Amino acid sequence: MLSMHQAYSQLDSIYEISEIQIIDSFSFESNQKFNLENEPSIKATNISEILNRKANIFVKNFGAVSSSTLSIRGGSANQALLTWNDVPINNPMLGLSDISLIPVQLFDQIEVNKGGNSSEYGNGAITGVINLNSNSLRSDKPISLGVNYGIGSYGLRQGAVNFSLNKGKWSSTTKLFHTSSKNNFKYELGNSIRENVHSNFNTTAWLQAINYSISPHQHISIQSWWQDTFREIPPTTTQNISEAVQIDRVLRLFAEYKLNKSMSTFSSKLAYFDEDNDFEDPQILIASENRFKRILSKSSLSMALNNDIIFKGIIELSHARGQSQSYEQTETLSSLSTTASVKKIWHQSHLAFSLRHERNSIGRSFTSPTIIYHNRLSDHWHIQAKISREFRFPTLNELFWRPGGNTDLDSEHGWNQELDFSYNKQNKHSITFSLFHRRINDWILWSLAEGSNFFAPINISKVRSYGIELQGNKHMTLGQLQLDLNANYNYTISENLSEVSLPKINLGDQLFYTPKHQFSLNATATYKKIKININGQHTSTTLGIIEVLDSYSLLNADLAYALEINNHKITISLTANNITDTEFRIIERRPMVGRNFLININYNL
Amino acid sequence: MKKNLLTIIISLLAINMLSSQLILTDFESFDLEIDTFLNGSDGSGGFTGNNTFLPNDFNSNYESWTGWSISTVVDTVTPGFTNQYASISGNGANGSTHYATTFVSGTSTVDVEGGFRLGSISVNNGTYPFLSMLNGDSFAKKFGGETGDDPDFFSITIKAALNGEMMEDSIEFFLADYRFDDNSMDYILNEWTEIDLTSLGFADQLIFSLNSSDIGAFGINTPAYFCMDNITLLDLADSQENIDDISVNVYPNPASEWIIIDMETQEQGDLSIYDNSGRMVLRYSNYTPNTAAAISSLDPGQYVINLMMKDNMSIVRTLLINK
Repeated sequence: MLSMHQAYSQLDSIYEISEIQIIDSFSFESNQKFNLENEPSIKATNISEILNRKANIFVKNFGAVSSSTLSIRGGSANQALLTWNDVPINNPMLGLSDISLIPVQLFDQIEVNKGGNSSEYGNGAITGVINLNSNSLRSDKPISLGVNYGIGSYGLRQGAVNFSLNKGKWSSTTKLFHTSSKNNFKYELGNSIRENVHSNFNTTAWLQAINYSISPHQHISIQSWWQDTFREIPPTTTQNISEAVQIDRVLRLFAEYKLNKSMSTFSSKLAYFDEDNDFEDPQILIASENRFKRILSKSSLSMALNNDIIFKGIIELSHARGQSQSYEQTETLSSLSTTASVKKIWHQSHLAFSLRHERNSIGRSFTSPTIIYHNRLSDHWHIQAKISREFRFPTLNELFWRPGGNTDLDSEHGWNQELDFSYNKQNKHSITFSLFHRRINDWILWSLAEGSNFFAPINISKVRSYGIELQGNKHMTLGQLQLDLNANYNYTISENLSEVSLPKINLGDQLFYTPKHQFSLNATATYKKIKININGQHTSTTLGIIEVLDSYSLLNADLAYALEINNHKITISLTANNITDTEFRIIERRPMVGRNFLININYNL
Repeated sequence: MKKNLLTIIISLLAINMLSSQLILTDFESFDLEIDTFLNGSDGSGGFTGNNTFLPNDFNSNYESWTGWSISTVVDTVTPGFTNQYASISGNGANGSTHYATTFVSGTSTVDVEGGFRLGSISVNNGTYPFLSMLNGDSFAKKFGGETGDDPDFFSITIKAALNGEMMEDSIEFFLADYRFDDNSMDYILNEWTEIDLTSLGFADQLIFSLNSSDIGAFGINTPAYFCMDNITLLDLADSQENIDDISVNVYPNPASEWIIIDMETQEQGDLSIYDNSGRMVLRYSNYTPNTAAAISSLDPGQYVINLMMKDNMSIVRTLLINK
């Protein structure tokens, strides 16, 4: 295993996310992993906070309790892929994932892999992949129990139960989660104060995993993820009343067979998703029901020859059926992809080449090559260069939505280049410096054609994105005091290379809702059973579709106290978000919550 | 606006006095039950009035349309796109049942067949844009914005064309205006209002475009609809013979408190006074010639007066008010 690990110490009984930077054994791509397994009292109710504060990813939040989408390295929401145990879970109708619907309590680990990943993950992995892993860690105890309950501002209540059984070759994990909130925070409008109304939110989720080890080398895992979410959509700051509600129901099933041998690994995954997204607005007499079912299979085989050459093959099948009142009929979209990769390992360096070909049922096909070179310059310095070709097929909505759906759409596609430098010394100091450049052609935008009264997707734009990402970590031990510092800075240019009349986009304009500068700082101090974390963030101005949105800075803090009596672990934590009560907006007319608190208690057996 | 007025004055000086036959399109002849609409789904491509044609482009694949529809929809309370055909008064002009509603994608046009001197139109807000401006929706702002002080507006720009050539003059009419320093004067139009088009002169096409202060990269956020009724055209040919036979004098001119229109006849007519933006500022519905009409409420400036007689003869004069 040619990997580099950097772990930051933490008390496993109190919440903090451990971050590990690794070089993946095959792709060499640097990524971040946030282990949640031992963080039972994790404060976040969705992954937005982790991605935003820890991974410095811009989360486009449509306001409190509303949808959130990802923007990685200046890309659009449907150019970032969300996966569950490495299986894509982006909505095939929309091509994106609403990450406000993802409760972190269900997962063991979140992996963040920025950069082009089309040859590994295929369609829609242009700017990065976020993987939710519920299959990575298993408890060694025969029985383990975790119970968590939190009370927060604006009616926030959340509870989670995590129960695991291990017996012989069998293990079972049950995770239950429920949260509800009123979100009736107040915000300033000119000289007056307005309360956020019609903003109730609740979600209930259940994840069940059953694992069976056929032999030390063979494992089977079967998992289900059920979730039901209801939310009221509050009025905008320039809207008097809203009666709109959104209901999301999700059933995701996953099965995996894995065979590990000394020189080879075989994995076969099968997944089935059945998801409903219903929107109702009785005020304007609109009720929209959207549903899709999707089945995926992904099989991969890795083989090592003489310890210095690794071959890997992947074959992936997907079939999706989408139903909507806005489709003429039930629409389907199938795809088949094959990937072949080879990696050559030398003493100080590695070279990998991958080629993926993907074809779908409406005649789109794409071949995506990737070449990666990694070199260990010294004991501490590494350099990695990557060139890849990225793509995204049109989604079901882009193809079949009525009105506007356009079956003649081409795929978004383009080349991506990345250069990473990393320095790591004894897992106590590390710096990562990344440069990236990407150009995407045939960018799909929904545009209102002259003389038309509906929007339609068109391959209308070209976008070039480039930038710098800096990440630094430092760990210090002063007696019983442990200090961890983590700083991230992103400079992102994502400019339009073609003029568009509607939406109005000028040549060279920065992409909508894409900050050029993003900075986050995390400082953690651990002293005996007490842990304090301070998080600061700064996001520069962004160009919205209506107006320019001001830059904003946020300050957040956590204080946790852990105690252990016999085998009983109790953790009490207090979280304060937006301590300075900063008024800010990520989307025009969508107010964000000001200062808020959460008290959390966790019990582990 | 001064240019508009100059054009009107030059036109009036040249014509001196007009009397004309009115040609009216009021949409009442369309066979349409109450609370229904015609949106071009029959593929007709538009709606024909008296010497007028209102184009419609219906997309049968998506059952969507642009241009004009004919409506008798009475719903004045349901917000949103599903109520796109209704006028906010729930009827047409002067209490009629039929009216036209347009969705303006870029521009909407009305063809004036054969070319006529333009008379007037009546306009009103649709229920959809009215309630959107009043309360806001998920896309568009309520007028006044977050504080109530935003200087918002929603207006129609009306232009005319002849033989394919666009004329320079235009009329801007405000369907909503929140630009007043005194917020109590802010308004969103909710009744039918007549717009005098005589300043646009002779034309064979009317061109409408919408402007809003609530605008973004995707264009106007305010729903781009308005309602129209009672298109009047002035047929000069029928009335030319009367012009030289009638003697008319407006005095005093300049005036400050009152005016008298001195005519040989005592037949009553509708007296309308317009400011230099084309907006009607004063009206006497049964004015008797040779009697005084108070104008003291008007600010100093140049105005156009129009006396419409019952035999459809129209008398137009300029008026200067000094104080």
